[in-house]
Amino acid sequence: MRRSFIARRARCRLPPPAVTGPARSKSPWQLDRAAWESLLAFLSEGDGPAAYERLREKLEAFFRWRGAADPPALIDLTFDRVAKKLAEGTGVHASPARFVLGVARLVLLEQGREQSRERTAARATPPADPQEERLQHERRMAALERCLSELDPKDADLLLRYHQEDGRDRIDGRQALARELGLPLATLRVRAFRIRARLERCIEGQLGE
Amino acid sequence: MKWIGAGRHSVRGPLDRPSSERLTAFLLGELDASEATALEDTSFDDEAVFEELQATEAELFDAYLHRRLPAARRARFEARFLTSPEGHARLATARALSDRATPSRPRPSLLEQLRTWLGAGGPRLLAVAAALLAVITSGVLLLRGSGPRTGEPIIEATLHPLALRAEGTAPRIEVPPAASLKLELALHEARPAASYVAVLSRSGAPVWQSGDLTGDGLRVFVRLPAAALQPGGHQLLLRSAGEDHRTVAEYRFEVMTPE
Repeated sequence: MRRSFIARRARCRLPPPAVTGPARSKSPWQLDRAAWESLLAFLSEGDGPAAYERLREKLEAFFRWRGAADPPALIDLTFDRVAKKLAEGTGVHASPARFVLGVARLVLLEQGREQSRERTAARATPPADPQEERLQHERRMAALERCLSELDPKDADLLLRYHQEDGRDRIDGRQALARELGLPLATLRVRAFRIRARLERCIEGQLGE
Repeated sequence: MKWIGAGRHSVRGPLDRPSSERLTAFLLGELDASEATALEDTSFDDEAVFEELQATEAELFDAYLHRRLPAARRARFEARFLTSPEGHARLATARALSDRATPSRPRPSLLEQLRTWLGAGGPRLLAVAAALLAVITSGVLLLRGSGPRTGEPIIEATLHPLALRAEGTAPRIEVPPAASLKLELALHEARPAASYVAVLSRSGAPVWQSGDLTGDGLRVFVRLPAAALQPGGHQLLLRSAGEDHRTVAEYRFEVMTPE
């Protein structure tokens, strides 16, 4: 996630194109350094990178939940649109997050991704070779072990205990864990999710290397 | 530039929070458009709601994995979350996490269970225990010996689709290590001309699959090597080999190794 911010910032450090700024220009509008800084300031009123990353995460979820085919591309397009609107002096009458969401909805509408999702929905993944799937599962288990060992041992323990057993045992186990940690069940659930999200990012990072 | 509008952190008490069921309905596309839009707006304004949505999404993967979703929701989940490589990767990670958190434990044999039970109750329970053992044994399918005695033993059993029998009544089949298991799969709808069988472990991990099927409009026969099966619960899916790989029927069975 952090890489996305750095990658975009690096792009903005490139020498700006000869014609930048308002879209009235006949050249396609491009995000330059000034527009980027202005976007960050708008998003966060000072806390630029963190707010950018958080909104990026929300946009990623928004596009995923709407079934968009290529969320990262749509996120970049959305931020470019927002930066362009700011550079053009468009008045913003909502919170930055809501404003960005509004632009994201338009981007999605334009791309017609929802329709394409419906078209592809019924297309199930073809059956993989069980031997190959078993190997992939073993690789993922090994990555999981490495990532678990990188977690704080208390977090790793909480995560594993939270996901233990199925059926009635699972519910009883979670209630017992919540009592033991002195947490409401809802808080335990969110805490377990945060650890799981870190673990998932770590595993995908390991498998992508 | 400053934005003009309401406070950016909405003040919401627990009573305002969308219920877990509503979050699930949102993620599965079951809310009407206006409700969905309102919840999307809230998730962008309210960090806690966004995080609850993410947690609900993660738990949906677990529920799908462990077959806790009813059929309609299962289909909606597949349509919304399993149409991308990222979705399949998340499901694979959910499976890995479940396997790691709940490693399969060897099941105690009937004799061990009986010993434990007797140990707790004393010899006066012996007669009752014997009766119980007889009942348990009668529930175990021991259908041996129909194959040639000189080759590998063939264990035969008939399975009925999940929709036609109650949960928790998966037949238990005793399979010696060197045997093969010949299953007769009863059908409640016509089998597609091209179909295959996929066998999954209790945690959903793929175990074996084959398109080498025989049978007629009412049943399908498939033969599995015992070496592919581990003791414990299994799920067997009869699927269309067409473009959609639709699941035609689902079966459950439990493998036991002989004493």
